Amino acid sequence: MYIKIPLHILAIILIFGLQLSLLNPWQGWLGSLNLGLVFLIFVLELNGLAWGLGWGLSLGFLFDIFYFQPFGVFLFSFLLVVLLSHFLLIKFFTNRSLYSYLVLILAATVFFNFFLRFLIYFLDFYSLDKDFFLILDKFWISLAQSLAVNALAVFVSFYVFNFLSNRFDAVFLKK
Amino acid sequence: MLKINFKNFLFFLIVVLFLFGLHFFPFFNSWEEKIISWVSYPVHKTYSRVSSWQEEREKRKQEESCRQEKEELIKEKNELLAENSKLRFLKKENEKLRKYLDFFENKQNKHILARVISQGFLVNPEEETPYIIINKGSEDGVEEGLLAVNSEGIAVGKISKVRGNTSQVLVITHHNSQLAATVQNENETSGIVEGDLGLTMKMKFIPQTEEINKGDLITTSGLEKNISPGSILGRVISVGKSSDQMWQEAVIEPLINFRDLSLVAVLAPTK
Repeated sequence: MYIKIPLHILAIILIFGLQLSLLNPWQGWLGSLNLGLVFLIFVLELNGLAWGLGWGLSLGFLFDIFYFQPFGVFLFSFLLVVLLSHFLLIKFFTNRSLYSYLVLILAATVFFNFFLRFLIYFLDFYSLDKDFFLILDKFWISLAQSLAVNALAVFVSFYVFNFLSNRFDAVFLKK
Repeated sequence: MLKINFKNFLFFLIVVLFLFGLHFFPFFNSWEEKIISWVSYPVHKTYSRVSSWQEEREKRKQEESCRQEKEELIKEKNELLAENSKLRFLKKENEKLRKYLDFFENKQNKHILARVISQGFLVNPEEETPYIIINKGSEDGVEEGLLAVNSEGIAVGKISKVRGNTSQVLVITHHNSQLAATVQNENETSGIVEGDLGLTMKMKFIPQTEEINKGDLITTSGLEKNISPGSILGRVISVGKSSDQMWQEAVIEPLINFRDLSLVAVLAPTK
């Protein structure tokens, strides 16, 4: 348990760095990938709620101190996503298969985009958009792209993970 | 069955409240700055690499359109050569006049060179860059409202938020960006240039009597506090003019690709 903590911290910092330097500058599909969210759901499924909350807390905190939005918008968005995804996982999915992982990432992407945009719109003067985000075409286009790319990332990472390690074969059902 | 461990939940709630509490203590702010400093160097390095890949890709795309533009430019070049000889004559005349009248005191702008750490935002990849985050902050002399320019002196944006060792640049095309500007035409028309949809800029409320043409350069006017005149904002691409309107409006395109930036200079105010 205690050996895992530094490894998880390292992974969180790495994902945070990759998101900022490698993904965010790209326009379009690659820039739509929310790596933090993909791994967050992965950890939530594998390690449970406590680890998921820990990841949400750490990622949210790092994004909050990096960006200039009001402190807490990322923290709350990530934590709410973890809680809602956990609720869905426990209430509606009987196993931890690829399908449940895919549905969860789609739901988490929608929740995250809504929460974050909502909080920024109401709390930040220098908000991203002048108009309310729900009436903007670009919001729905970027959400659709994000859904597609995150789902693809989940699909690939699921099979890569199962190929590299069979530790979780009993937990992750392939079909 | 949904089971919530209230002990764990309470623990996380306390941690969140603790982080919030600490965020507003100056001592902890310096730790936040340190975390960002540690992360910013590798982030900048990777960002620069990505940026150069993108630049390469853009270059290939542009090559095709460049061929078409080449022919137009040759024609334009001949016209400019004629204009250039005329301007050289005027330049010499101007230099003589300056010498005699001691008209202009040439003050070099002090500038703070900064690395771009990141740009873009987590939830809007389709949109043009709204902010750029740089690795210089109040400890380096960066203040809110200063102008950031690229290596050629073309305006990138205004510093909108500052921390100890990072700052946020609001790019000139952002809808919240406003800059006092001058059109490089005969009358040196002044006005306010506002960002428009994150792609272009608009100069509004220009009297109908002013002559503004497609291709005119727009620069900062220097009427704004802490922003010196002469930094290029963009070029006029269209002018909205109709006889039943009191004002005309110019649409301006920026001359830089914000995605290619890896270094910017923040122009400190001349004192």
